[in-house]
Amino acid sequence: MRGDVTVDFELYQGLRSGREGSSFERTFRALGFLFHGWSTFHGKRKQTFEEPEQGCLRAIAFDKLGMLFTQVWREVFRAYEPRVREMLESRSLGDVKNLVLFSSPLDEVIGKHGRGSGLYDAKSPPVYLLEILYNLQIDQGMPYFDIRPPGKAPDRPTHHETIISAGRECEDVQHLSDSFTDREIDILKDFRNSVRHLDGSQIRALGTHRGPEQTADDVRWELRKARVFCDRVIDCLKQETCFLDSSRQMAEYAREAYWKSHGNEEDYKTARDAVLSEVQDGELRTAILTIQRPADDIWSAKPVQDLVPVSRKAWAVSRYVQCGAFFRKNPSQRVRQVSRTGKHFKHQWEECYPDLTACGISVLPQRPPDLFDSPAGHIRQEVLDRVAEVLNEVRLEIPGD
Amino acid sequence: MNRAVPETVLGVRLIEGNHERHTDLAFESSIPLIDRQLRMFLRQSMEQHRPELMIVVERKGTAILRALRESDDRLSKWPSHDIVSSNEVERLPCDLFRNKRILIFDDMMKRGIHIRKLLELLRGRGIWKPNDERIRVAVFALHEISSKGLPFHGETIPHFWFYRDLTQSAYQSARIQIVKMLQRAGSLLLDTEHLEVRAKLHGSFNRFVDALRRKADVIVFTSSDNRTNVTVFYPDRAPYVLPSHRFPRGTVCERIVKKCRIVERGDSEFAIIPIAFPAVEKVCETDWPSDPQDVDLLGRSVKTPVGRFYGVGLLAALEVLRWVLRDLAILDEGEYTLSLPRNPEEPNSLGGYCLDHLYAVYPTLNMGELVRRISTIAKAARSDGRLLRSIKFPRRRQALCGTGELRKWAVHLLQVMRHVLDQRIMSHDLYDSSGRCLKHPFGLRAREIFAIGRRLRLEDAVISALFDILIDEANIVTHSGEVEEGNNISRIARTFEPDGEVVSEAVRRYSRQWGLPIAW
Repeated sequence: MRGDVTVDFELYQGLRSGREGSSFERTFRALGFLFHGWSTFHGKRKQTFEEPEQGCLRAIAFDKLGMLFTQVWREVFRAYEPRVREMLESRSLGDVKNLVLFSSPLDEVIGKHGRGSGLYDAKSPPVYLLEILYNLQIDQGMPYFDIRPPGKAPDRPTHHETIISAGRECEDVQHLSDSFTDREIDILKDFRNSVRHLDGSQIRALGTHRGPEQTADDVRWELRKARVFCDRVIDCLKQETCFLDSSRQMAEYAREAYWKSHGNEEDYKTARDAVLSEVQDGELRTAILTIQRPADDIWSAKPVQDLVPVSRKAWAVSRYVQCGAFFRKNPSQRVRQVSRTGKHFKHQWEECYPDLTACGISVLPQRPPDLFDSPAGHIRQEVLDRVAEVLNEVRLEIPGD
Repeated sequence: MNRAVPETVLGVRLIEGNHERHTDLAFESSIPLIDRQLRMFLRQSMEQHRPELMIVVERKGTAILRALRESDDRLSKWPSHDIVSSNEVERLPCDLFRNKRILIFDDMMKRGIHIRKLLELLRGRGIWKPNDERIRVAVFALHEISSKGLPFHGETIPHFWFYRDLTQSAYQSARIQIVKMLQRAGSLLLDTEHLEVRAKLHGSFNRFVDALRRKADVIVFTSSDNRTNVTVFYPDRAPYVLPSHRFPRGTVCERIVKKCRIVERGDSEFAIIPIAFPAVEKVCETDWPSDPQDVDLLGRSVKTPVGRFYGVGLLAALEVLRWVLRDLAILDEGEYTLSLPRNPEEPNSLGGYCLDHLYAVYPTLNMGELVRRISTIAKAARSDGRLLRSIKFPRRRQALCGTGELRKWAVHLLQVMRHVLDQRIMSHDLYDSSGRCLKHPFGLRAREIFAIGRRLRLEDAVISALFDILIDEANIVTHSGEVEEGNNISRIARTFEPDGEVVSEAVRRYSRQWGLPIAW
């Protein structure tokens, strides 16, 4: 062992100059090719909320498609990495056509609702995939995607109402052949064929979840965020100020926590089954099996199971509080809901109250008017105390945090 | 001092020096250039400023000073008591600094985050005042980002420099040269935290390793400078359990750094460096240490949380020393010679080297007591050895891993560490509007890194060796700071993070080019 030969495997020697640029370019083209295949699919597929127009995706689902591609492609590359290193060291291009030469350079960045793909370099806040693509579309006319932010947020491509459709230049494999190896093209074609059957919700589920630890972490992340707004609601209750916005935000995070801990299971399971039934390429199949764990492994895992009742309770409580905030602000809607919004909150109230009871919370009034000391009055003190108590219970419970 | 002369070395300019510089270059041509430059820079800075106290910026600054002092007569004469680690400034009394001429030394500066933090601390304690000529800052190499210097309350920092306007690649290259110099001098462990004893090997190296491997796990590897390194990893099981009753209540002794490093110094001589850093609670309700002998050894600096952390670390390291010397004692007496440190306060004491570098971190250490304890441990080990030699121990087999493989895993571990930390920075909103992490230092605890290593399917002993490889190559840096635990307990613990922007940028680029080693 003494006098062992030192093999050059050092950080700086492993870096290749200019490499990221070409990897980014290839990744965007590959993603464009994948998305175009999905977009122009004529077979049977459910059109869900995530697909507002035929063949288009909303921002969140598109971002998840990027995550799915990044994770699977990195896994595919892992199998080829030793051969690529060998090829670079020997400076011989011998078998290059049969290799996968690049990994996806996109980082896993943390956005409003957890993980997404993008870029983080610690010199500026994370940049999300849609921001990168949108800037390329604006500045350089990159033709692989058509990204349309909503009118109310024209400069925010990451807005959840942004719609993405496929660009013209991704129509066929020809646009890939210039800079992709034969092996890369084969895998990409198979990947495209296997994801094009997925509906928007399935893409979102598959790109959101991978394994039990990651899912549990993501649920905790949403619950921690919900806790921040829960604290704000408690402060507002103490100061008797409006808590509609804080409770809305708390409900948004609690809903995401609940969907990640429980609600996405069916979409994930059907999506994974669909992809695996279509995929032909052995290496791609292995990569998908490695990255995307079976639904049972994820949602039956104890850390995830432990989070289901907590997130369910947080969601039920936050919806109830949000309704209470609305009726507090709009006394005229407390008994009879005439406006559309009033009806919406009445409906939400009717939905969330049984959920509250199912979570073991029965100390809160059952009808909106019972919250208040008079038809146009304030929230009753004992109700305020009980709501604060329930919120305090919710904020403390994050298993594994 | 900062007038540039048109002499170019590595594409950058040297500062004007006196004729001695040329004498140095002529007479010491066998010494690598970077060593000579650093030595010359430090000597000149000291001659110009004539400091009474030196503050060395952790961690490479400290290691450089120690390496230079070992090989430079003039620098070695500088009293160890007058060198303070930047990490210790906070817990030392202001009187130690007040009205003294102070030289602050750091090796490199890109944005000047560490220097600024130190100066703010000195300013906050009333030690630094604007236009106070008694405090001067010397930085060996400056990145082009800081070419105009760091403005600090009307002054421009640093006052002395050797290289400046370094481009990213020149800066990186200078950094690599410095790290190589430290490796030549015996690795980054030449810092100020660890005690060491030395052993000269006369017999077989394999027998030496077998003795260490009697019950512990041992990994042997070669450093970049082709020196043999041994990591002896002590698992959390008998007989390698730390005496937690001697530490403050609530001290965590499991899943911590607990090992011995053995580093070749040349000519079959090895430095034996025991390391253990239990995590202590920030708040200590009882008076610690309770043992008067420990009080005598450590002095009053252990009254602060960080001081207590280091105090516990020193006692724990002595325990690790006991284990390693006992294991080595099964070798025949002719197979190695143990050389113990001498007490610098007793000129007639035996021994060829001293541990006065420890004063930078343990300013109130009783060196005589430390030397006495080390000697007692060595004697007890020798006495145990006579008994142990008569017992036949089964030879433990251990999977061999080559240095090349270890270095590959070290990069993988580093990649995942950076990834996990970046995820934390992003998910806890720990960055400011410019993206920089608001919390510094921000590292991972040993137990978290072991968990990462296990997911990479590495054995604990291998993971422990990877820490050493990464530290020796200055790819990770250690901190001792406050960490929050879920049950509202704050501890002072050892944390590790990729070393600064240069390394972090390289790791992120590496991950973009090659991907993470496993799906994370």
